[in-house]
Amino acid sequence: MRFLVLIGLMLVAASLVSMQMIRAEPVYLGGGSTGGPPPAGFHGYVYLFKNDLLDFKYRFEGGSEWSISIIVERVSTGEKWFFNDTGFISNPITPVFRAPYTGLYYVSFIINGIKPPRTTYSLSIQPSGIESRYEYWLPRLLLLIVIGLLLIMMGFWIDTKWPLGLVMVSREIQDLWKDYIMVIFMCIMLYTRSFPYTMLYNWPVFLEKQGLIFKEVYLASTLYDSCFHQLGRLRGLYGITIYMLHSSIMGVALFSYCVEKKIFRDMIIAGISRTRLYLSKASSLFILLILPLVIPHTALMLLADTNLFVSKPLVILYAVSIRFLIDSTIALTMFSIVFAPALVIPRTFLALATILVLPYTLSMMIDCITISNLNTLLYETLYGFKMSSLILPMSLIAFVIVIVLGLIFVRVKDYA
Amino acid sequence: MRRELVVLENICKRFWFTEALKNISLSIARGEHTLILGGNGSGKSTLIKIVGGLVKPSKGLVKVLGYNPFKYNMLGREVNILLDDYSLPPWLTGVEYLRYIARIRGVKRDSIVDIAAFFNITSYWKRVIGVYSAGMKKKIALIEAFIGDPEIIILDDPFTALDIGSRKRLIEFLERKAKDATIVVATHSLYGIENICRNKAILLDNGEKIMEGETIEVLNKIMF
Repeated sequence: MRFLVLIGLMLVAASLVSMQMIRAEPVYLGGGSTGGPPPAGFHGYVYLFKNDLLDFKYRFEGGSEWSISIIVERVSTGEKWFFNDTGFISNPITPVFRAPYTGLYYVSFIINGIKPPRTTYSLSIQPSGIESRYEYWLPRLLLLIVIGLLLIMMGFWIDTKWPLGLVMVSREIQDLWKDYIMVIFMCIMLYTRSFPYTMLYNWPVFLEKQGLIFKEVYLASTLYDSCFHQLGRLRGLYGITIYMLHSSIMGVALFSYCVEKKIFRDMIIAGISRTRLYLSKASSLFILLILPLVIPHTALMLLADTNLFVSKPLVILYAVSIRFLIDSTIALTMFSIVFAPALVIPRTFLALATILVLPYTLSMMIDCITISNLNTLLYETLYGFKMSSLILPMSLIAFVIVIVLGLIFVRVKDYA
Repeated sequence: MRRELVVLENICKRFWFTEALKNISLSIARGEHTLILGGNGSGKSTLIKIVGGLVKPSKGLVKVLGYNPFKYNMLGREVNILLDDYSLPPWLTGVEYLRYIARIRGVKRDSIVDIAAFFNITSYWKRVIGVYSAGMKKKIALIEAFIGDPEIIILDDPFTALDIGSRKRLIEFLERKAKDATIVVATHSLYGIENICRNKAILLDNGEKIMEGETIEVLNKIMF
């Protein structure tokens, strides 16, 4: 127990160290320079922390009188702020909205009556830099919650009257607690120089389909994107690497390592069938892979705008469901990549192969998943969309194949 | 009527370049408590693992209770086994582990209390296994082999790491168990086990069966 407390304290310390390095950067929402009239306006959802500035900038060269109308509505409460103005070309338009609360806002920005030869415009968020700290330490805090949940799973399910399958999964997870904490600790340390959750979002792919049947999907997508946008400045290479490491260690520890240590065999001696033991290990691995993704992501979205959670639960539900789908895809893919070699190759070779091969595999995978974010132009084509939408079925197929292969493998092996 | 519980016919086992067992045939009937004798590396443990369905023979036929143990897993139900290289989860307490085993085998969790008391482990079984001495761990592993209501109990080297008192208790416990189950013990030290496994003994040397017969006869031949 003392050891666990020590680990917890170190995690908190690591989180605090990382907070010293926070530097809020402006978020560019849109803009450009056009010949002729500017876009008629901007309508959409934005997520703002308290005291963040929504900064509108318009400049026209030549033309006539203009008028603008800005409406900002707080989505969760319906509270509205209005701004109307008229003027001439020589006056640049630079209204600013300071967010009174943290949450989602609907912004409508309309321009009338101008026909200039050239327009320069931009819309951006200037973060206050105070509230944004929240989102930096929150994921770290949530990782601690993940560990806490695991400890609960480990400690309380073993000696219960719960269904045997659940108890077995709990025991398998318990076998790995040291590895798990080690990985999480490593994550925290490396996150101090990176942005943990940048790697894993892909809204536009789902928007295309779902938007047709659920109109508020754009609201959900804004919530989702906003939650991770500030964190998503870098490509999250460290995050990917850490997740890969986590998956490899867990996979190897559960299968290859256990065969070497004969824990696998001793469970068979205890009276568990090979199939049941194998499936409980596979379930445990999947839980271990998906937990670090799902818990922080879900909690981030739920905590982002608590009022919204009450007033528009469907939006939250939708955002969380999509997030879960994406996280499952990633976990399944990782499971498939790690699991098959973990069964057959000795630990040392697997570790070596993992180090050499997986970063490339994973970066390719992530590129496919986030293709729309990496390359908007490519995404605009149907090709980009098809690439992305193939990931889920491919992951599922790979997942099923390795499960079946693994099952065959454990059935024919000399022992375990 | 003699009912064969274990039948081995012409069993060979090769690990890469090592021939662990050479053409072993053996049958054990119900109530025929058997001693498997032999020095280090004679093939005792491999033979036991084959009977338990944990190691596949390279050649030969294995039947346990009429079934192929590699197709039908009887461990933890009809057959309980203690291996010499057992391992226990160091992060569980002894009581948690034994209850877990009882749960898997469908035995009431309270039933382990009597055995635990008999083997004197209740004073420390609430501590995690990781801090146990070798002898303490051995007792947990032994108790595991006695949980349930098996037809065959197979013990590989059960006396190692046990103190004198614990050895005596083990012998006493096996005497009781011998009324309900068939006991098979592989060992190179006796400590009185020959009085329980008196029906049959086989002697292995370098993977070959060099002697088989009534225990007293085999022991006499070895000693004199």
